[in-house]
Amino acid sequence: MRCAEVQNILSQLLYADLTPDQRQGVEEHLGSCPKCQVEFAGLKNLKGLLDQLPVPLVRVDVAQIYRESQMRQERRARRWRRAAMALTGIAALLALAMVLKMEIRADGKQLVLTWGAAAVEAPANQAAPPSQVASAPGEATNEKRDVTKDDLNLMRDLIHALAADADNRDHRLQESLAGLENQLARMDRQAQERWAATVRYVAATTLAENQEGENP
Amino acid sequence: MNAQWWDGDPAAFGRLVSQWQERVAGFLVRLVGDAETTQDLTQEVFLRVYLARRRYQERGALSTWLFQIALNVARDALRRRRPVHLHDSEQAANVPAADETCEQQELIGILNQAVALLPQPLREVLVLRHYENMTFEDMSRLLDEPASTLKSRFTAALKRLRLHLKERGYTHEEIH
Repeated sequence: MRCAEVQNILSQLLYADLTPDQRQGVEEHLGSCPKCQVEFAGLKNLKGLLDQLPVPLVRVDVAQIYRESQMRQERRARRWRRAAMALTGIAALLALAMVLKMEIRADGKQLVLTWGAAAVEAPANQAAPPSQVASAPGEATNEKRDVTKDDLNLMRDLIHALAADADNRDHRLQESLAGLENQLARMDRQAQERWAATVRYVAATTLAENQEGENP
Repeated sequence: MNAQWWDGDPAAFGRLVSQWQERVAGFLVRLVGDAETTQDLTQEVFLRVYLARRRYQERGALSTWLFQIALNVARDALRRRRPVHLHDSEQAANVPAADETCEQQELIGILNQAVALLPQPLREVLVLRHYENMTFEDMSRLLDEPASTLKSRFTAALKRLRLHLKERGYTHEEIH
C-alpha cells in the first residue's frame, strides 16, 4: 500500500473500523514506514485529547417537561376546537346555500349571485331585479355583439309592444279616473240635497216654535 | 428498565432522563459548541422525546432514536444562531489564561475551538463516531448518507483538527 492510501484510512485503523484484511495491510505498511508511523502517533494523541474535552453539567427538569407538555396539548386542543368551529360554520353556510339553491357564477365580467328556483326565461322587456345582479365595481360591461336585422326587428317589436302596453295602461288609468270623478260628483250632489233638507227642517222647526210662542 | 416510559409512566421517564441526560448534553455541546445553551437544548430534547414517545418503535435502538431527536434540536439551534467566529468559540471554549500549569487545559481549549470551527457535517460525524461510538452503518441510517461518505468526512475532520493544532504551534510530540 502507498502512504497516501494508508494515511486516508489510518483513522479507521485507530477506531477499529477496518476489515481484517485492510487492517493487516495497513499494519504491514506502518511497520516499515516512519512517516506513516508519525501520522498514526499524531492521530492517537488527538484521540486522547478529544476524550478530555469538557462536558457541562446539566440537570433536566422533568416536572417542567410535564408542564410544557400539558400546555402544548391544551394549545393543540384549542386549535382543534377553533378548526372544528370554522368547519361547522362552513358546513352551515353550504347547507344554507343548498336550501336556498344559491348559485354563483361568472358571467362575462359580472359575478352573478342567484338564489331560489331556477329562473324562468325573463321577459325581454323586464330588466333583472337589481338585488339579483351584482356587477363587479368599476367594471363596465363592454361586450361587443354584431347587431343584425333580426335584432333590429326584435327591438322594433319590443318597442311597439311596450308602447301598446303603455297606451293600454293609460287608457285604463283614464277610465279609472273618470269613474272616480263621477263618484265624487254623485257624492257632492247627495251632500247638497242633504244640506238643503237639513236647512228646510231647521226652518220648519223654527217656524213651528215661533207659532207656539205666539199662541200659548 | 425503561419498560413503560413511552406510556407516560413518570418514574420510568425520570429514569430514562437520568440515564441519558449527560450523554445528550455532551452530544449537544460538541455539536453546537456553546456550553451556555446546552441546558436549554437538553431540556428541549427530552421534551421532544416525551411528546413523541408514542411514535417510538421499541424494536429500534433507543440511542439512534434519541440521537436523531438531539441532532434535530442541534441543527435547529445552529440555524437560529449567527455563524461561529473565532472570538465566540474562544469564549465557548473557556480558554484559561496562559499559565504553565494550565498548558494542557489551554491545548484542550484550542482543540475545543477547532471542533467548534469544523463544518457542521464533519462535526456531526466526529461527534457521533468518537463520542457516541456509533458505527458508520448506524450513522448512515441516522444521517441518511452513505457510510463511505461518512468515513471520508471522519478522516477529513481529524485532519482539520490536527492542522488547526499545528497552525497554533502544537505538534503531536507536544500533545501529552
